[in-house]
Amino acid sequence: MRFVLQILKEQLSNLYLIFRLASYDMKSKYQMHYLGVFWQFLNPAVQVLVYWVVFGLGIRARNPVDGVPYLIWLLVGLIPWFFISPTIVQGSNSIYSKVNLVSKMKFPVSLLPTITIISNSLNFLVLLAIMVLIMFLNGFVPTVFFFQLPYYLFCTFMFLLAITLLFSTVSVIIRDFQNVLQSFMRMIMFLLPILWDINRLPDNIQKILMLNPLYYLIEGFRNTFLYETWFYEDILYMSYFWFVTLLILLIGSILHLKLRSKFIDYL
Amino acid sequence: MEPIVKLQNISKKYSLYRKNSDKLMELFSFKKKKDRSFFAVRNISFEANKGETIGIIGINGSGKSTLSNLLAQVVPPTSGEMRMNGEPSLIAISAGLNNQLSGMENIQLKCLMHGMKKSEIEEVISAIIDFADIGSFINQPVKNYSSGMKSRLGFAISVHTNPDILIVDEALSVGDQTFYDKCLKKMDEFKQQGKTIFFISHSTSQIQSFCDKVLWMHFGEVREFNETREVIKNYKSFIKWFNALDDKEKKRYKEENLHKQQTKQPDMSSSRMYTQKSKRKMSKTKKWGSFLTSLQIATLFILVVSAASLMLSNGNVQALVNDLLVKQGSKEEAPKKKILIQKEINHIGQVQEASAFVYKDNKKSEKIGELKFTDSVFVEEQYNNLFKVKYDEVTGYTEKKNIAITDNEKPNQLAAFSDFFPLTPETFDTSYEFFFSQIGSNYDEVKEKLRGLTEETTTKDGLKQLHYGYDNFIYRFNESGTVDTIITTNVEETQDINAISELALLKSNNQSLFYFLMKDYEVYLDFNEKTITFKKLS
Repeated sequence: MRFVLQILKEQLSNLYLIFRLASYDMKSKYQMHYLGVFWQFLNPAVQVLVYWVVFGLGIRARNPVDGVPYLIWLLVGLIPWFFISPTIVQGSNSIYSKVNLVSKMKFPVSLLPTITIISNSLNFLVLLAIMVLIMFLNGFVPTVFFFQLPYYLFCTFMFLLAITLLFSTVSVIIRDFQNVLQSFMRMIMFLLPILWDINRLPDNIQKILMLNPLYYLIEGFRNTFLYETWFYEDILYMSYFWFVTLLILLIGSILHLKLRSKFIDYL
Repeated sequence: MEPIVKLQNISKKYSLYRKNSDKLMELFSFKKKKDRSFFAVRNISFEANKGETIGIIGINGSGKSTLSNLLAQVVPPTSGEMRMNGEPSLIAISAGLNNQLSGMENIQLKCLMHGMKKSEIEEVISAIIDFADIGSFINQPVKNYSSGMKSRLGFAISVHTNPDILIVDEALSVGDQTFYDKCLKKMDEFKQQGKTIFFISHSTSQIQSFCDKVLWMHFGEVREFNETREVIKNYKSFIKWFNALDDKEKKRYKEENLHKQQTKQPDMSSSRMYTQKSKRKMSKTKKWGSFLTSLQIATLFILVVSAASLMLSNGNVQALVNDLLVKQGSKEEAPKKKILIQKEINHIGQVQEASAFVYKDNKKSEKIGELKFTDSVFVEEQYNNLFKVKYDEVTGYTEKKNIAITDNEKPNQLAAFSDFFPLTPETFDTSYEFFFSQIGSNYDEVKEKLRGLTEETTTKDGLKQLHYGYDNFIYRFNESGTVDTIITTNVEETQDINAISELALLKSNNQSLFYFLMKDYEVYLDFNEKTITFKKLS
């Protein structure tokens, strides 16, 4: 655990640095575009439209899911995914792509994945707000269950921290990993209850899919906004998620701290 | 006086890999012994005091850059001990600027990364702009800068981060004369402030004019470390000697020395003993630590696996665990399932799937029956995506999508034989009247009147069937032995399914089963079996 504590300590004692660097990261991303930051919302909007037309109007023929209009149901799952998926991919590449920048100074490399997470998360929070607005316009009244949103945001951040720390370390040493990850993330989207209602599958298969910790996060956002379920109602699944996250964080921290000094040798 | 930098037996070893995968192997400490390795820097010891300026010279590949990286703590040494009382800062030509951001933003970014506070940055920012001498370009993206501007900016930032130990690696060779003079002035300033500077260069004149002491690196080892004048003199004579050699000898000399760098470490028994001793001291705590770590990993792994297997095993265990855990906290019952919709319906409905299972309760745990297409049920209430239905004294739950609530408003449309012509084979269209005249005949009468019998079968319910394959007809006899059902086979799916589907009183969700009413017949159209079944209404 001391490895995990050291990593967490590095993050917490450099919070200001993380936020400032994340803001520069955001700035440099869209500086050259005429529409600037607007792209951060245009891209997801186009994707939502495509999925809605293909799955909502096409395949489901406007059928609601569990009594919720498909568009709303889709948004609640897809917007967290818009945050999680690129963050995992970019975060895993973060050390490799930036280690040149920071190697000539004393700078805790473990901050790099976190900076990616933070720089993507502003966009995510704004999208969440827009989503809630769309829900209001469709007649969804905020419930007391909205208050568990911070819990699920915390889950998302911790999971991303753990997984990007591990993946970014691995992908410095094994470059092929990044390519594998990209295809894998594209595939895994269809094994999550984002675009289609997994309840239609047999129970056994559904349970196997639930072993994916990302399933817990997506389902968590649906529980918060649509299903009116508290996070402590399925304690077994909750503890499973946290055990997995801790295990990833532990392995990631150990690998990272052991190999950190060798990163330069691998470039 | 305490030296500000002290190096003791510092070595940096790089492993030479034949294949890419060897890197991984070494990481997991397989076949570590066999590696060939290369000592970029070997067994270096020296001290530097506060306010000293030390030049580092040497021919190409002598380990100057490695040494500078070691001093800047960018690269960790493989062995040896290094003590430093202060923050080192490496000034190199390519100081890692972000091309997308403007010069101003880059200054802030780099200063932040050097660990400066916001107020400190504001203080130095104008000095940096002044020093870099970039003018109005400071608000332009860095990618528009010329290479000179870039290196000036990089140098200016590094210089102003206020390091205690400055390591200058060939940085000054890029600027023009004015910039070079400016840099020297700045360095002099640092010298006055009592900072230690390491100055790495090929140029003996630069070093001579600037440094107090010189460290001569020669193929990874310190050849000489002394007052500037003496070392420079020896270095110059070495260069002279080396240049006087002919190409072959030069090559041989280099190869010999490179070979030395690759072989085992020379005798340095004292330092080795030192490291071994400390290793032995370390080993006990280290072992204990790694044991604890693997224990933690194992524990977490077991927890993950057990939670997963609990989830995968049947829901009873899960309910049990939930019960146990929740009961301890409060006296609430097992956690309520997510309820979205629960409303009364109290209406008649019909099954719109080929078959629909009926379950005992709303958790779908136990099957108690199966319904077929067009079976009528009474729907009592909706529970999420389930209907509570009642039929033949049975009450149970079935999927909502299985049941179509019968619409009273809709008039009972009647279909006619001609409506099916688009689907039926030609034999039906031309002579259906003749075939249907057999309704009500008994077994012998049918056999006598019709030619072309191909098969005789019995249905699951024990009803006799006569197949007339050439004409695509099947006759089915009821319990009392007369024809009451005629089945047309080889039905084709047409493009124009809409017309027929409009007439249907009930259709299955996947559009493969349809139910019609005719004046005298009930009609079932089944696209899966490719049949239309006409059953005489009694």
